Amino acid sequence: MAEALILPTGEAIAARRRFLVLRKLAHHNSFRIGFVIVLLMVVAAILAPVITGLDPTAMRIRFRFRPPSAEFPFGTDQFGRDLLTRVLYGAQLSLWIGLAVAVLSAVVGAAVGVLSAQYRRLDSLLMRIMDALMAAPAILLAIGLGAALGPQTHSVIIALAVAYIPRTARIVRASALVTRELEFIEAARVSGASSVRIMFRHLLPNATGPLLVQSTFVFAYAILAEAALSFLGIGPPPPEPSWGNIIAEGRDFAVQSWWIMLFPGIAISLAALGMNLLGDGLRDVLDPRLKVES
Amino acid sequence: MSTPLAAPLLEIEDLTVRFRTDNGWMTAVDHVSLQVGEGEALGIVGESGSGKSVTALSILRLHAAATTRLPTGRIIYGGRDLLTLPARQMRAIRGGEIAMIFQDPMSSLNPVLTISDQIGESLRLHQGVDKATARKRAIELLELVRIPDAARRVDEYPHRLSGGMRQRVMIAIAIACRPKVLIADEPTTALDVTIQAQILDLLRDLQQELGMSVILITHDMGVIAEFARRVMVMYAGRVVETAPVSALFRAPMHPYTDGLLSAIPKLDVDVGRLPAIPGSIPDPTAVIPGCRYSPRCPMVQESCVREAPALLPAGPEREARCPPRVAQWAAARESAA
Repeated sequence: MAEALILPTGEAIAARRRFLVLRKLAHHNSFRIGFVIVLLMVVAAILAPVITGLDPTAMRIRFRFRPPSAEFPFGTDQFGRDLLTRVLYGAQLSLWIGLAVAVLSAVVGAAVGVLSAQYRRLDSLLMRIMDALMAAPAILLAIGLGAALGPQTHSVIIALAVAYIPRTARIVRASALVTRELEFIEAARVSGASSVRIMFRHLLPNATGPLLVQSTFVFAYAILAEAALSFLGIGPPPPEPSWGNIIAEGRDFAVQSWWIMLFPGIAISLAALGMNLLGDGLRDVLDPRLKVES
Repeated sequence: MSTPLAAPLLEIEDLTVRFRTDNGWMTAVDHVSLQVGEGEALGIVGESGSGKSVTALSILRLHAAATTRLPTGRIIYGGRDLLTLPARQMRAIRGGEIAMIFQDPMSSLNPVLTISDQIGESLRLHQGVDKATARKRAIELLELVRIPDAARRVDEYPHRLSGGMRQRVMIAIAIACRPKVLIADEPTTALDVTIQAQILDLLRDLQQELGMSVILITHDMGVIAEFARRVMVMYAGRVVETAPVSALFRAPMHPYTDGLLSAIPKLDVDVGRLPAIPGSIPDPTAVIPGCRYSPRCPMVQESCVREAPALLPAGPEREARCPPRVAQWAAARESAA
């Protein structure tokens, strides 16, 4: 019987289990590619001052509309600002918005989802509110909210978070509804656990897999949506660069100076691609239906 | 009840539980009364749907509120009625004073928490001990339920354990706070036979060591014979017979108990096919006049269908819900005297 086997210590087993997940992730191709892309972007964003040494908002009229060259790898815009510098600094803002939206919608969405799974009376109320939010396409909702809140970074974050909360809430709710019917929830109740304890200690941890995966997708959507909002003038205000508002400012010169829009566009595509690949990999490894315990 | 127990620890009086179904209200537990003395092992036996699990769940008030009509009757524990206790006090009872183990050890443990976390949970809830102490106590408890290499097992996740070991962990969780009453709802049904025997041995030893009362719910007469001192047989939501275990096996007083006993395979008699009770347990929403067992009863009489039989005293610590049989017994006793 299994009892007779000599086993390593418990801490070692727990560590080994975590290690196994990491190893599976490390062998997952799309996760690997996504991870490298995202890692490079984060490093580039953090090291932006070191990489270029230029001020992203400093105007130099003499160097307006320079095409990509050895001196300006991404060219310059209508104010003579170096686009490589702006794209790098823009990464800081865009990634920050993506992260903030992902975290905010995960926290609120998880709370809403687990509450409606636990309290059946709250369920219909909360879910109808979520349905109402989902009735409008996320981007339209965010445009409306962003316009109402004014063109600021934090209003973009709030608008996008509100737009993505319903999907996250539904995913957490679905997972918690399945979990709460399992016997260990009843066993926890038999041990004297309160509803709150059951929600946060039993239901939520069992939903972390789908929640994490969803959050990476929200991260990617948020970067895209931030670009769309900025393009429409509802994003973070100029002159502070974000990928979206660099494109927005470049649109008037799209025909003559294509590089202004091209490079931040590539950055957005890469970021969205990277996060999506990362999320796919996480889903493959974390999804309990696909998981083979060993 | 006929049992003159010295101050029962837990007493159920006239418990009725009804559920809402698509076909209206069904009565799952129909005026059930029982008493459990301190340190006693009570067995409740019956087919699926006889109301034995619902009775047990009612003690801890664990029904889905939406489909249950408030149970009527009283469940007295420590001078208080558990059915009307405020939720907060009820939580203190659950796990602290009355604990329960379930049928399926595979789904009774949270897959994302370690054994230590799960045993520690009730300790932290009821005794407010810190995490390190809880872990230490968890190791002691694992040793108590005879899990080898407890110090290592305690940090593992449930999926690393076999079914028998998980049931041991469930028992460790249940006894963590030294409850006075342990309800075991078919604790061995999902396990294979050799493990069943080990788990029953363990439960019996723990009961004696810790002085717990145990309510063992099962459909297996063999488990009852091995474990319980007193047996309650339930059929279609009603108690049909209560008796000390030896007396029940020697001379059952209800035709349903006859049927259950004759369905046990015997090693010394060669039969081609085990006798089964004809028919099946009635639809709980169906109205059956008189005795609910009468449609399946081999010795049914006209009076059985006419009026619902009462539980009648039938000897020391015995009661049966079968007037013809009790009358037979009474006549036999009289002629012997």
